[in-house]
Amino acid sequence: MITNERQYRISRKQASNFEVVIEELDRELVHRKDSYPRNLEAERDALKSQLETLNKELSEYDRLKSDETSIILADSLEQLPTGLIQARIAGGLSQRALAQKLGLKEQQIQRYEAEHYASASFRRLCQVAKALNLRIENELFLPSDPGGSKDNL
Amino acid sequence: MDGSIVAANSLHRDYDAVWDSEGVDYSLLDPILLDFSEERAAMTAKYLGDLFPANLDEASGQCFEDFFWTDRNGIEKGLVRINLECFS
Repeated sequence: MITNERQYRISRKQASNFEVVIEELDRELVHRKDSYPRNLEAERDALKSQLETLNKELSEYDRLKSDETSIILADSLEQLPTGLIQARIAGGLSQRALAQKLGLKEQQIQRYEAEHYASASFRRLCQVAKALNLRIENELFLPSDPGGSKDNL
Repeated sequence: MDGSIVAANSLHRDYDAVWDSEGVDYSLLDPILLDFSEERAAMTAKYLGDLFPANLDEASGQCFEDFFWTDRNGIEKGLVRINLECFS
């Protein structure tokens, strides 16, 4: 996931590098279509696949930065950290600005986001959500067989 | 090969690896290793990581090497190279 402008620029450059090599392989495959070089085709497809992932991440960052995002969905607790990162980007807040709001160093937010807040305490997650001025609404669905879950307590 | 498993990172999520596409008997290869659809979903489910074929002496290999050589912030990181012939 791209979380800041620097990463965006680097990813954009990497996508461009992939495009150049894919074009080269496409041309070579056209020339050598009779010999059907399986390895070239596999290499081209692999590059295209990684390029697709890069472009998806770039598009996601563009989408978040646009004014169209007002709600971010997180349908599990595991998705909450990603939602916090997305909310920060969509809110136009840099990692440095969020860090300042929390009295932390920018690098700490970068580390948190790189690991999707895996080492952050629950208290810290709440502080981040508050600093981002998020309104979080959620529903906790109980299991369809509540008796079964109680047996496991 | 890169990823958290080759770094000082206790949170292991997945890995990326590039395998040499030269000299491969494609009739013996697991077809999942060439299935790049849906962002390599089947491959990741079976092998728990992304595996890319590339010619390590040509542009495709160089492109992946440059890509995996740095992290998202452009900072160089380590890669592990495994000579599979050692295991044969």
